[in-house]
Amino acid sequence: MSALVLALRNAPAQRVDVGSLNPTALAGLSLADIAALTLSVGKRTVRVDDLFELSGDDSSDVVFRGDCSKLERIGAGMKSGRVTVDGDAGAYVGQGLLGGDIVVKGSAGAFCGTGMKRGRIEVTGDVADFAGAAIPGDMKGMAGGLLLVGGNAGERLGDRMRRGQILVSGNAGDYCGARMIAGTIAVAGKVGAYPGYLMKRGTLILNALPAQMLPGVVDCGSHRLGFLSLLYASWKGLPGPFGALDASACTVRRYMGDMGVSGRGELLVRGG
Amino acid sequence: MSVIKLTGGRVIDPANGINDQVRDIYVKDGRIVAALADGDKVSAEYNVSGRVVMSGAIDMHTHIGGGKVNIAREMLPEDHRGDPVARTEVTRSSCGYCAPGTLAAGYRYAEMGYTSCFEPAIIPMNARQAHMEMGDTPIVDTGGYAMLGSDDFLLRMLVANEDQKSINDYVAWILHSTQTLGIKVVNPGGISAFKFNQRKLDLDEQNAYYGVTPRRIIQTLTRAVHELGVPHPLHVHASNLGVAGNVDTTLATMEAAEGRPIHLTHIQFHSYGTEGDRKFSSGAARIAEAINRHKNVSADVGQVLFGQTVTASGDNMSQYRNAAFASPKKSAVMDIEMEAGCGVVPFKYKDQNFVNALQWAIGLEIFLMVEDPWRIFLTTDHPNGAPFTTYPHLIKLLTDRSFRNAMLDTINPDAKAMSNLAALEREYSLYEIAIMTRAAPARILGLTDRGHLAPGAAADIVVYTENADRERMFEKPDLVFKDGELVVRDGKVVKVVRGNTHVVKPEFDRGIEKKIEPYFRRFHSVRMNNFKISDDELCECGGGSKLIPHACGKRS
Amino acid sequence: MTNEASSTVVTEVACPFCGLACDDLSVDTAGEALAVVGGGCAKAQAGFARLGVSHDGASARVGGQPASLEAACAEVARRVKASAQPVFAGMALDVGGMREVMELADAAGGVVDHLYSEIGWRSTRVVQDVGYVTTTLAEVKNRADLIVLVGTDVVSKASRFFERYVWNDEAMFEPAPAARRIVYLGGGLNTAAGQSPDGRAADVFDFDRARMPEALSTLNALLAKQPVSEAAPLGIELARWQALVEALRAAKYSVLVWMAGDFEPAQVDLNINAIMSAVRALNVTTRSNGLGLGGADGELNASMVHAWQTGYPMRTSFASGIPLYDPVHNGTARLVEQGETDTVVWISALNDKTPPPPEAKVVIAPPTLKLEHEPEVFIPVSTPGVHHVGHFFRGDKGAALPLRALRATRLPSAAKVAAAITAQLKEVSA
Ligand code: SF4
Ligand SMILES: [Zn+2]
Repeated sequence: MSALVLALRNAPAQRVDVGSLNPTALAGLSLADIAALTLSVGKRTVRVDDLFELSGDDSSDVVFRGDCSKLERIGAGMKSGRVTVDGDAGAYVGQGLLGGDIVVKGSAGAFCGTGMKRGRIEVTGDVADFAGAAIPGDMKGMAGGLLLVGGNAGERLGDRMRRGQILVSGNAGDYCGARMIAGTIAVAGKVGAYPGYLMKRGTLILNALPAQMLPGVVDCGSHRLGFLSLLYASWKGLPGPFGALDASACTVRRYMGDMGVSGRGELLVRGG
Repeated sequence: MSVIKLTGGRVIDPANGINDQVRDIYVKDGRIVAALADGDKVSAEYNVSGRVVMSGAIDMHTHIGGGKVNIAREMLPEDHRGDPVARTEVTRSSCGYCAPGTLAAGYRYAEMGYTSCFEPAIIPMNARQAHMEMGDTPIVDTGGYAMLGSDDFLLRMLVANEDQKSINDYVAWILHSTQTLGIKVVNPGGISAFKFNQRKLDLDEQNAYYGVTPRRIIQTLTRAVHELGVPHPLHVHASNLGVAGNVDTTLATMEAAEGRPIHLTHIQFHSYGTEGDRKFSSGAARIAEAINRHKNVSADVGQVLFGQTVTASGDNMSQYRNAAFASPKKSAVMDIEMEAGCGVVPFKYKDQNFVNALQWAIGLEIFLMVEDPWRIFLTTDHPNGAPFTTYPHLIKLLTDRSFRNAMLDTINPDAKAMSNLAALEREYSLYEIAIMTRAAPARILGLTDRGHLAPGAAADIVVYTENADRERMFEKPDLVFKDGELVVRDGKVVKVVRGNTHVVKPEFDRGIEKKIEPYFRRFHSVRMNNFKISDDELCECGGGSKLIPHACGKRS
Repeated sequence: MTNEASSTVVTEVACPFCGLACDDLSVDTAGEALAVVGGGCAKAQAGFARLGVSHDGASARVGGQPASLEAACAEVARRVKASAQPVFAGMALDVGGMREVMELADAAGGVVDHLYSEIGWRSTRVVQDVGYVTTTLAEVKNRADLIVLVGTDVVSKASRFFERYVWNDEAMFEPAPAARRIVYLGGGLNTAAGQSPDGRAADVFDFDRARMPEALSTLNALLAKQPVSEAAPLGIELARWQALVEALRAAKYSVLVWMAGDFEPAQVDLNINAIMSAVRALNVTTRSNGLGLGGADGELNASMVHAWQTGYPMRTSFASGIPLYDPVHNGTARLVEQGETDTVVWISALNDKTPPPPEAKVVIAPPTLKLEHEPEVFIPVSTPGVHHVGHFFRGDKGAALPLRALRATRLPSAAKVAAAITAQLKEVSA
């Protein structure tokens, strides 16, 4: 058995929802069945094998090849298995993910990991705006699992995030953790303006605060927080800086906010 | 000229006392005729022998248009994602489950054999939008009831003790200006009270600013509607919606009509007692008994069915309170233009929740204990109790006792224990269902040419294959004709037509405008002349809908 | 009364040139151009004058050459049909125009995007995410005792707000209009209109408006009786913020006004969300409401019609045969930039100033629109409220105003053009 490879013949001009091409949905289908599935490209309906060259036979291990930046919802809703993107991916990677692994060897579009409940998404490059965030109208963004970002994250990282962990090796944009309800976001680089805007609960672990902070995020002093050592230990071996954290370095400066909306969110600044 | 013949159907037409008689029906140019004239050629004949033939169904209370419904649509993209309506050769694309787009709503109503739908809560200032939305609701006829009772103009008239005649003139002026078919009052005076920061208003409690009570508003408006000869009685959403113990308010509201016709809407939400450990109990028996006794009272039920929906009401006082129970947790509450307000709160009724389960049982109890099917109407108060697409399921609950009791066994056991539903043996007959969904709504709205199949009636006709499973039967009619055109075959739209708009135009003294015009200039945001909707404009709002005015017999 | 032959003056005319839709204009129809002689404002005068001519001689063009309306519509239909993903942009239309464009967009498998949708989708996000507590202009006129303008002066975009709804001669309830309290949050605003008739200046919290989250975070914290991190947020001493919070608590009917387009685009939904948080906190004990104003260039005509017909707001794709809503990815600029659309159809009957994107191959607009590039198809159209009747949703969603026909023209309406293209499109398909 070898991985089922879906190699784009040509990058489509329009965005294409390929959420159905995930290990859970493809389980039990023959290569011919898969080839005959249909997708919408703009106004056209095309067969999977019109868009992709198919090879391999293990549909529990799906590989997308080519310029996949127009392919949306890669791995959406899958329960187990593995999806790999050799290159950039489009928006909504792993939407509603229930298990398994998604690896993007490149960058991912907006709303990466939105609504995911379990499983793991690793993006070696950047994620665009709203990673781990709720789509309009949804009450929660990421709701569990792990999102690893090797590069930078855009704005509104973890907006309305409900549970799970997001680890960003690079920088995060403005309004990081806005409206967050629970869960953990850690950023190794810098964060943009106004982290924790309208944040209710949850934890941001940062290396430094930006210049632009909200008055409703207040300094609660230096603390040694025991749970951090457990957390850091659980990250041990992960790619990027969080896999190599000193589990004993648990002293942080703790900020709470956003005070107007319950104020139980915490921003922990390491080394504080 | 088109002539259609439906041959050999089992006709159920309660308005004309016809119960399951085999008859042929002839349709000529959109109307039912007794027989063909010499020279008439049948252009299409449908052999419907053995099948059940009824007039098109009429939903007399369904929120299909106007500001609050559109807020609900915008609010709930998550509702729409799972319920698309695909574009076909004849239909356009649309979507939505509990807050569908107008296109989806029109198609789905027609596909269930409904040919007329009435929006019950039109804020006068919002009448244009309501007519536009109804105009974009394909196939079905529409119409609406204008909301009064919390509008400052009326409250000021009451404070000034203006005579009933002036009030009647104002009410008639509103009907003309908004191009509506009836008058609705929502939480009488309560929407105004909420703007003065009152959070509840009982029937005999005074509005903090005006000193006017809900009882006085109901007395005045039932009288106005009656004296103007508007066929539909005052349509009342009573005080204390959803509050435990409100059954007393509801019974007192019936009395407040002083014997004049009054229609109590979504009465299920107003039939709650305070007995039991949880201080929430069924008031259905008392309500049903009162309706049975008071021949001037009619009601629609507003049945709750389990699942996700959205509640949309003009009663922003109640909806502000209900926002605490929103699921998902979002809500929109508005004060609107010195006339009314609105509140939109998504809600999920759960069968294992004691209160929700009892609400479900209370609605069914009312249906089954009110004796006269001409005075109780089949509604879910779409979408407040459930979306209208649940009607076939509701019909099955009413017509099939064993199905009903099987459902009862699955709900919250404490709620089941608090309900006498299991003991109610009644099963609605097809004839009674036809009364409730056709003949009676047409009669109570004054639609003389709808809801029946006698010569002269509009050819809104539905053909069903009888099925012991009434849900299956009613969810997918074989044929639906709208004004003589075949619009649905086998439960699917095959042709899209434009429905008509039903209105009333009672006589009144135009001199009332001398008082109204300066009021608009001083206090309103628009000029009186830009508030009024002319016949031509209505036609434009309705996208070309034909206006059907219904007669009013003035009574004073 | 300005005109002897008063028959040429039409009164109580509704104005379609901004979201306030004032309906008290008197328009003289005697001259070559329409002249506003009562009510109105500079923008209204200019709009009626510029567009209120008969446009004699304007004709459709295909490839820069004069063409019949029919031929031009057929050409648009052909292009739209052949397009992999058409976009209908601009959308400065009345209700009737929008209704017809919707039918066209569905048949064409397109996307509909208003020129303000980049702000609009973020603003709509608030009702989708948390909802709101809001009021409308007639309520403000009669009830408001404290008006807080959050990051906007309103009048720069809708000049008659104070004249028509705040500094009135009388109100139905207390206080008298002149006693109303006006507060501006944010600097760089035109606060002159907020001065009361008796000369009381408005209370201005002067700060860089891009820092609005700091102001709203401060207010919400103080409303929740929680601490804030600074002694003087945004350089304004805490006591002033505290006094504002007390005033809001004491007010019987406060109104917090915003215009979404005046916020930093990235902050729109979060700021409104924060305003709603404050309004909800206040409503626990008193009455307070938000008032979002907008609606210029028929923004609400477009958004309301789109929502009621399809269920979804704009930026929904009809390409696959069912509506798919994705406001983040279906904006015209993005679709063009990413090469996802090959055909931009610009339709605008109310706005003859905003230039269409250079990629627009089809432009359906008033002949007064200056074009930098000749599009492949140009169809001149009449303007609602000037040449033909129509409807216009006011920016507070409180009313839809009837628009009048004041000037005869031979030009078709946008609705008629859209319907003609749809008819052609269906013929091409059949
Ligand atoms: S404020 Fe706006 S609506 Fe009023 S007259 Fe001026 S442009 Fe027209
Ligand atoms: Zn209702």
